[in-house]
Amino acid sequence: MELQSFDEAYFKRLRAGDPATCDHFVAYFNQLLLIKLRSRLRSPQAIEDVRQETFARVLTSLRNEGGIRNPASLGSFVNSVCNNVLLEHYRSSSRNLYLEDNPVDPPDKRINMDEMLITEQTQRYVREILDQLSKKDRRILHAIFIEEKHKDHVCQEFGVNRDYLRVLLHRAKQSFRARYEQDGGKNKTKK
Amino acid sequence: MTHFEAIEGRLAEGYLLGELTTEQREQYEEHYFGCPGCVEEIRWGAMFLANARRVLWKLPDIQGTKDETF
Repeated sequence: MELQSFDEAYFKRLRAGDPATCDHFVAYFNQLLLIKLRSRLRSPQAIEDVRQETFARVLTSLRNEGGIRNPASLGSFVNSVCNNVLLEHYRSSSRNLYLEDNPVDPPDKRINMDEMLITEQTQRYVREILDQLSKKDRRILHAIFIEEKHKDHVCQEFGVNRDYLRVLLHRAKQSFRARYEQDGGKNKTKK
Repeated sequence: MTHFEAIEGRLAEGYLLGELTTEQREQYEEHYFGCPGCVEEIRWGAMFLANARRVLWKLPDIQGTKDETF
């Protein structure tokens, strides 16, 4: 995972259609778009349609004379285009429903990740991290992500508040990252 | 929104847990799509969760009685 800032040189290559830069651009934003779209759409086909349309519009706009010109706002622009495509998807799915209150494709707030994020090695790291957690914390994660219990019920059952859930995930994530980087990201997943 | 505010508020974790309000979620997305540091937070969190779901599913000793001592 590399920190990515979009500079003028990158922007020029992207606008010129340089294959390697275009591939990088799509790879970089693909996962972000999937995470975003999976929090709003259930249908894999709808997610794929919106994702593809977003990339198509962004790349077209980049090559147009009147399109985006500021490399620093590239990420924001991708997000904005995705929002527009999403709105159009909602509208085309049902003209008569008001989106905010009655989404046509109910959001699945659980973020399911791609197979591309999972390898034997990453599972081993995560197993190590989970083994280091208290039994209570492991059971909290199990209750939320496997049993899919309502978080209010989980908090009540385990005597914690909602902030505790964020802190728990944060610490586990940091430990996982440290463990992964300690091994130099062997068997890297596709990102 | 600044990167500092996002980190302080643990917004990446809230986002992945589905804990943010609609407004917070939209503000955070507007921010993190353009913030390399927050993109990292989201990616590591997503990677951890994807693997944790798989591992937790297989853990044999995770179920316990409610009044078990932790």
